[in-house]
Amino acid sequence: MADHVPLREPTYLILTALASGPAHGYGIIKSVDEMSEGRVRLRAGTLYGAIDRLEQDGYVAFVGESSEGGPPRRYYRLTSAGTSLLRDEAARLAANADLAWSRLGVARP
Amino acid sequence: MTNAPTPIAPCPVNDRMLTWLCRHLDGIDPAQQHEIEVTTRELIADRRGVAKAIEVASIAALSIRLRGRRAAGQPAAAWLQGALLGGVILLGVVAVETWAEALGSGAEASTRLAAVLAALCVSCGAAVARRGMPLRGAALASAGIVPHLVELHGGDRFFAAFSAAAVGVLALLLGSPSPRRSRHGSVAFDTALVIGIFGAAAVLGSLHAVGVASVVATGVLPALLVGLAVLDPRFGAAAVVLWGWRFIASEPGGLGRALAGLTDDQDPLVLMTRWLVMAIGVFIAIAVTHRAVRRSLLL
Repeated sequence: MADHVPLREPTYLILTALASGPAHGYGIIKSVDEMSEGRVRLRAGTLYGAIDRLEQDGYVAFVGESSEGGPPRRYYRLTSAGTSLLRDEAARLAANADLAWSRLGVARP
Repeated sequence: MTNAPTPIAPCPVNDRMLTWLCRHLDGIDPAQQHEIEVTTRELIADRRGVAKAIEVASIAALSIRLRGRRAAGQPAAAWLQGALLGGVILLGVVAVETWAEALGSGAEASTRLAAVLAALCVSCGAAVARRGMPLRGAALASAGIVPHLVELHGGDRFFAAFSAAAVGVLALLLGSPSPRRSRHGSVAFDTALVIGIFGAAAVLGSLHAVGVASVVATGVLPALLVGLAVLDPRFGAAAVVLWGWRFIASEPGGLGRALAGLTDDQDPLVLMTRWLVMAIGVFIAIAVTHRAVRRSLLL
């Protein structure tokens, strides 16, 4: 798993979007948009390219299809390996951030 | 009173392209293809022209990326499959130039016959190699090009034709075919490849613009391939073959002569600049391919 850290930002945000529960593609895109306050806008091609890779590597799994009045949508969830990967990456980013704050001599905001 | 939003005009070209792209995503089951199409339609529902086209382009990029990922998951495979693609393109260019020469020149009957034979064998060899039989393709192209090279021996075009054929055949021998075949029309594509080569040659021959094929093959096409290498590293490896050939063939011994101040027919500075540009092109293609291969391993 350490081979896949660091993650690219879109991948990190996709995993983060799935951390709170299963979601479909459009839901993930909207969630990433909200979490990043509009800074990261995933294209459909980027999202499904990442999901294809994450699914192949066992970090994300297809849960099932569900329809809420519209066309049936495919839902994805984090696997336990995906949760560990996200945790590792978050810890790495936090450690780097802590390092910077300590060197700057300021408390973490 | 508020202004009503301007209705967004439907764009049938984008819609049709999106449907077609989603249905041809490599290695994706139909339910997932449908999901991708639905998501993209939701995203572009309230977007206008360019934004809509960019979203559709992202699906085209996904298509290329998936194809590359499925066919060449390992770095070595990307280089080898790209080398084969470069060899096929290079032999295609040799075939176009040779056909164009045979169709347009007022050469002797034997020269023309050798050129026609070479062009036919090289274009068929490229098609055979693309179908996953690189050894047969290389043998066919070599068998056809030898009589032509014998006819050209001593002429101005000998070195360019020889080096292109040699690099093309070598790329076929070193490269490896993609383990995945297109689901649709492989035979039709190969037939179209041979006919396309002949057609391009006929047009260029009639326009007396044989050199255009070489310019496209060594300038426009490799630049395009390097751009696509971001999505599929195999394209970058193909560009390495094309620019590598041009680097070898740009001026045999020219750099040495320029450095020694021995050139009397060309400005040494021009020769060195040309050599430098070609060297930079090869370096860029290698660097882009290497980086694309490394990026393809990241999540």
